[in-house]
Amino acid sequence: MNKTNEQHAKHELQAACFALHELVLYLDTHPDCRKAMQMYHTAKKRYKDLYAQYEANYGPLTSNGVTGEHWTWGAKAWPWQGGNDHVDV
Amino acid sequence: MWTYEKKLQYPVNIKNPNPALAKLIITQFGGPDGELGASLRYLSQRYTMPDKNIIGALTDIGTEELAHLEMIGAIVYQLTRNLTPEQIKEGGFDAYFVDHTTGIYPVSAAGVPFTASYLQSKGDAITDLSEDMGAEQKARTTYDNILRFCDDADVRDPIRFLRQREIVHFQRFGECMRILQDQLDYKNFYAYNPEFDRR
Repeated sequence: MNKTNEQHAKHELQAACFALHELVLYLDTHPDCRKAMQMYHTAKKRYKDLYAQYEANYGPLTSNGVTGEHWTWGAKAWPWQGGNDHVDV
Repeated sequence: MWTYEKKLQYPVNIKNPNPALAKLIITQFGGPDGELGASLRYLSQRYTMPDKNIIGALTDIGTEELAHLEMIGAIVYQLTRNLTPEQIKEGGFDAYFVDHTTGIYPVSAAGVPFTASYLQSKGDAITDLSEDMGAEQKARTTYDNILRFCDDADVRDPIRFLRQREIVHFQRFGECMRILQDQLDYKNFYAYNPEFDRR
C-alpha cells in the first residue's frame, strides 16, 4: 500500500522525534559529551521544522497547536483509531 | 505521546514541615479518589469512547491529572523535608517512614497502597462518564476534608486550586454527557451501548 503524504510526513516526524529522544536519554547520563550536544542541536532543529510543517499541513499535534477560527483538536482520528473502521456514535 | 514540562501547573512553596499533614495529603497521590487513579481512569477510558471531542476532553483532563499528581508529590515532599526522628514520631509519620523513608509512594491516608480497583473503564460511554463525574466530586470532598485539617496558608493555597479544578472537571464531564446523549435515542439512552453495539 502506498503511504499518503500525511502518513509519510507523520513517519518522518516520529523518526525525528525518536532520534531526538535517544540523544536526550544519552545526554542525561553524558551531560559533558560535546559530540552528543552537537547532534542534539541538529536533531532538535530537524524535529522542530518537521513538527511545524506537519501542523501547518495536517492540523494540531497538541491542544495548544490549534490555529484558525475553529476548534479542531478533536476533528481528526485519534492515534489509536488506525485503519478506517472507527465509527463515532 | 507525551512530553514533560519542567514547571508545576500552580506553584508549591511550603516553608514549614508537617509530617502529620503530609500523611493526610498523600491520599491524593495514591488513595481511592486521588490524582493517579483519576489520570489512569480517563486515559484508559479514551480508547473506546465513541466521540472524538469527548476523547479530547478525556485526554486533556487525564493529562492535567498527571500535573496534579506532580503538585501533590511536591506538597508531600516539602512537608516532609528536614525532619528529625522526633518530628517523624510525633507526626505519626513513623510507620510510613519505616517502609519508604521520605520517598513519595502512592498510598492512601490509611497507608493502603494504590490499586487499579480504585478506577473503572467499563466500555460503556454513559457508565464511564457517570463514574467520571462521581470521581471529580469524590476528589472535591477529599480536598474539602484535607482543608479541615490544614491551617498553613502555604498548603491551603495549592490545595484550594486543586479543589477548584475538580469542580471545573465535573462541569466538563457533565457537558460530555450531554454531548453524548444528544447523539443517542432520547427515548432510551440505554437502547444500545455506543462503544460496542453497532446500529
